[in-house]
Order: sequence, then C-alpha cells, then structure tokens
Amino acid sequence: MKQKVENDQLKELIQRCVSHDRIAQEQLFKLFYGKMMGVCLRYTKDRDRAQEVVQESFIKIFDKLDEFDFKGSFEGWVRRIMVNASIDAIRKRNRQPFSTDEEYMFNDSYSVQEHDFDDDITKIKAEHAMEAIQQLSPAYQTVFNLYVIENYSHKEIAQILDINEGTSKSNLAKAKQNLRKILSEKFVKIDR
Amino acid sequence: MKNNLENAFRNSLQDYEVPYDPKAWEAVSSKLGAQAVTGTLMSSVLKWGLAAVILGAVTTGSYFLWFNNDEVKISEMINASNRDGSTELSAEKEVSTDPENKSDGNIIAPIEIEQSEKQESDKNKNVVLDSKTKGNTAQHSTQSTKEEVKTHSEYVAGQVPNTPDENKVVAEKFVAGHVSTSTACEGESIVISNQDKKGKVKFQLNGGWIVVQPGKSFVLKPTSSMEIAFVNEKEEVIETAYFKIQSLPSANFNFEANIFEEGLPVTICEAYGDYASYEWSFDDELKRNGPEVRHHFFEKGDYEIILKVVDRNGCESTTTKTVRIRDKYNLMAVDAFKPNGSDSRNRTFMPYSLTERDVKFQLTIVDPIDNNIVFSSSDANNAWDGTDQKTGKMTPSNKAYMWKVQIFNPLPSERPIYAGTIVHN
Repeated sequence: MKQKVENDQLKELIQRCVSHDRIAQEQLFKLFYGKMMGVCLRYTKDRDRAQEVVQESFIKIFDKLDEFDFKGSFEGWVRRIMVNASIDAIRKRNRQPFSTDEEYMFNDSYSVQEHDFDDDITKIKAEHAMEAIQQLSPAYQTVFNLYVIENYSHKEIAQILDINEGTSKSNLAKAKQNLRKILSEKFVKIDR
Repeated sequence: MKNNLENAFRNSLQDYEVPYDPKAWEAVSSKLGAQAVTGTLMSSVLKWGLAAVILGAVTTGSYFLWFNNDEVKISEMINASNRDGSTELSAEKEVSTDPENKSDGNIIAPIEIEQSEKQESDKNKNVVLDSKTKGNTAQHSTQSTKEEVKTHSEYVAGQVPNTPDENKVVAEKFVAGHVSTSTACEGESIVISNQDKKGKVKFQLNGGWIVVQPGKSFVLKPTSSMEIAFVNEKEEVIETAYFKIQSLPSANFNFEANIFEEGLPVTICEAYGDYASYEWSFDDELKRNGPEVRHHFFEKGDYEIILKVVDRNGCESTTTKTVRIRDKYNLMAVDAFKPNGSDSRNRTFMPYSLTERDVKFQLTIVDPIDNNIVFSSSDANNAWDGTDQKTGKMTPSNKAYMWKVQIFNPLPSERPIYAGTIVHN
C-alpha cells in the first residue's frame, strides 16, 4: 500500500517534470542523485567524472521523460540510462576499452583458470567494495558491474559491449581474481 | 549459481548511496535553463535568485553581523545545527541563561556570541588595554595563570567555601580560554574553547566582545598572525594568546613521460622546492614519497598526477597535473623479424622488455589458423628463430603469428597478459 502511495507521488512528480517544472525537476534529481552516483562511481574511479555522467544523464532523462510509460520501474529505467551513459563515457575515453586484444585471440584456449573455491569473503563494507571495484581496469570493471550488480547475462553483456561471450566470462573471472587480491591486500586487516 | 564474492559485492553495492550534493544540481539546472520554456524559466530564475539573495543575506548577516574587519573571519561555528542560538546577540541572555545552559548538559553546545551592552561604554577601556605595554601584559598573564589555576582547583576539588556564594551573587566569572593551537597554517581554524565549568571566556575581536559560555567553543580563521587577550569581569586582561599563522607552501613539479627505462615505461616526476615531505598520487591509485619519483603507466590515456607537499611548519599544498601516455605498453615488442637477415639482433623474436626486465614469464607463439603452438619459452635468451618447435622446420613466412606473454610476477597495476602479432620473412 505504501509502495502504491509512493508510486503515485512519483508519478505526479514525473508529470510535473514533464511540464518543465524546475522545482519538481530538482526534487527528482535529489531523489535519485545519491543512488545514481553509487551506480556511476562503480564505472569510474573519478568522482567528478561520475558526477558529470549523472548530470548529463539527468538532462537526457528530463528530455525523454515524456517517453517513460510507467509500465516498468522508474528507478530501473533511470539506472539503465546511467549504466549506458557510464559505458559510453568509458568508450569515449579509450579506444576498444572492453576487449584487450589478447582476450580476443586467446579467449578459449587460454582461459584463466578460476579456482572456484568458495570464497570466504561473505560481507564487505560498501566503501571497501567500491574502492576495490574502482581499482579494476575498465574491461574487468564493466563486466563485473554488469554481471554481478546489474544482473545481465554474459550474452547480454557481449551485445552491450560488443565483445564475445568468452571474453565476458574470462573478464569476469579475472575481475574476481583481482578483487580477491585487492581485498586481501588492502582490507583484510581492517575487516578483522 | 553466484558465489560468495559476487553476493558480497552485490549486497554491499546494490543500494549504495552517496550523500546529496546540492552543487550537483546547479550544473544540471543551468543546462536545463537553456532549454526551458521561457515562462517557467523566468519564474524559477526569479525564485532562485531571490533565494540566493536571501540565503546570502542570512549567511553574511549571521556571520559578520558585527565584525566588519577583514583581518579575522569567523568562518564556522562548532555545531552549526544550533546556529540560531549561537548568534543571538543579547546581553540579558548572557546572564540569565548561563546556569540553565549548564544543566541542559550541552557539553558540545554551539558557541554563544554576545554583544555586551557595555561595548559602547567600554570602548575607551579597550583602547587602553590594546595599547598596554608588553611589561604590563606579562604581568597580567602571570596573574591570570594563577587565577586560572585557582579557579580550576576550586571547581575540580569541589571544596572551597565561597564558591556557592559567588555563584548566586556574582553571576559572571571569567576565565581564560583554551586555545587549540598557537601556530596554524593559513586557512586553518583555531578553536578557542571554554573548558571551565562555570566561568565564561571573554575576549575582544575586531572591536567587538566575544563571550564563550562554559563548555562551548569559538572558531576563527585568521589570515595573519594575531593576538587575543582574555579578560575578566572587570575587563582586565588575564591572559593573552598569540597565534602564529604560517603561510602555505606552493607545490609544483616537472615531469617527463613516454620514456622507457630497463624495459619499462616510466614517468619521472621531480618536485621543485625543499619540503619536509612529498606525497605523490598517480591516477588515484598508487602513492609514492620523495622529491623525485618514478611511476609506470602501462595503459594509454590521460592520468592525473597529484603532488602534496608538507613544509617544515606542517603546512601543506597540493597541485595536480595531467600526463598523457601516448601508447599502451606492450613489452616493447617488434612486429616483424628476419630469420636470415644480416642484422643479428633482428634474426629472432623476443619482446624487448623481457630481455631487460627481471620477470618470470611464459612466451607462446601460436599459429592463428589451427591454434597450434609453434614455440614457447620462459627464458629471455631463448628467443624464437621462426622454426616450429615440434618439427624443427621453418614456419611459413609472411604470415602473422600471434604471441602471448603471461607474466607471473607483474608489477602493481600491470596486467599479467600481453599479446600481439609477429611476422617473419
């Protein structure tokens, strides 16, 4: 029931935004800023860049808001825009950031052996998790984010990033390997 | 399906939120401004403009209400949430609320600035105080130390016959304030706190009196060295405090990038000036110390180098420069060689860096047509001469082979796998 009320309020807020009500726009921005910064920060280690992505995406969102049909979750819609914008931002900065040539050529015959030992890491402080993710290279970081947090399949990731599925899988494995290493080097002492 | 590590990351980051930053909206708002419908634009600009004016007025009003001097800026007040109470200018309050405040138990309460009624009439006296000779001040300060010690022991020990009387009859008692530091860097705050349980702290700042209630503090950000004199109820100086304000250093450095040393790409950074400490940060990741440092950037791109210096006074300064790395590091490998050529250095293939660096590695050469491994080596002296290791025959020429190097002990931030193509004729 509460959800319903909130939805109605959100709907009203969105409609006011559609008619360029600046106060409503600010409210909407305020409502989602924190979470969306949380999304974008995972795709870059630079806070200013993340903020730029959030800001530009919001301009896009306000522009396209009349296209939102209220069928799915609004937050999900906003989140997808943020993720796509983050990926675009990485693309703009590097040429072919998601597929390093070695993976293209060797993805199957030389896949990284992943020790699938059940990790003893079960809980991580959000700040530590963020810091660790931010240390990954864009290729690993993006796949990790899309697969683990955004819940995309390797097939979908391959399409989004224009890489093949094998690369997506191996990048995920390597991302996890690196994260374990980063966590064990940096944070174990703090956590225990 | 997903393992612990994935779950741990998802749980901690799925709903991760960053605190709201009102400044973030300004940029969006200004960009939207260009697109907005004129009517709403006008009204909102008016609204925001008005809001800004009011906000500005309130802020300056409460902060600089009666200090009109540039020398000292009262920048922040401890526990700003209670700001309303903190800037109240009432002489009555000074007397009446005093005991109540104590009983409230506001230990870290906001400071209270009070404009004494006496201010006007005391002006002459102030002048006199200010122009007192050093000898006099010294006398006063010794006197005051005694007084302070006495006051403290009175209250701490809880004995003292005349304390209760004093409390009832004489509402006002003044002690010297506690100063957080006597030397500070430009831009740093100095906190004058009243650590006494009953007595107030009173001193003059830019022609106005400031009274700090027991348990409260006052923050100032002096821009140059200055002296503050604490006074007692008769406005006699009981102690003086001198603040030395150190000017800030200015960090600066020079760097050279896109060069190689011992098979590795290096960026050499050299700081100007002589400081107590140098801390470098490369692309938000690695920290290094010292006036001259070397860093390896392996990937192409623009990176930030930040230098923080701390001078011998403990004051710090930071500067940032951007370095552009033109090429991705790929072990300085060539893309072609001549097994029968005249130049002996060019008859075999081994990525150059591997011959210079002390690393454990595995080099593999693969025929891309059938994925057949034609050569592998983990010794930099054992380079590929173009023959197929299994058959001992020369491989077909003018064909691109793929090489891959796995490094077993990569440097921090270095990727462990390199690859490329190689042709021979």
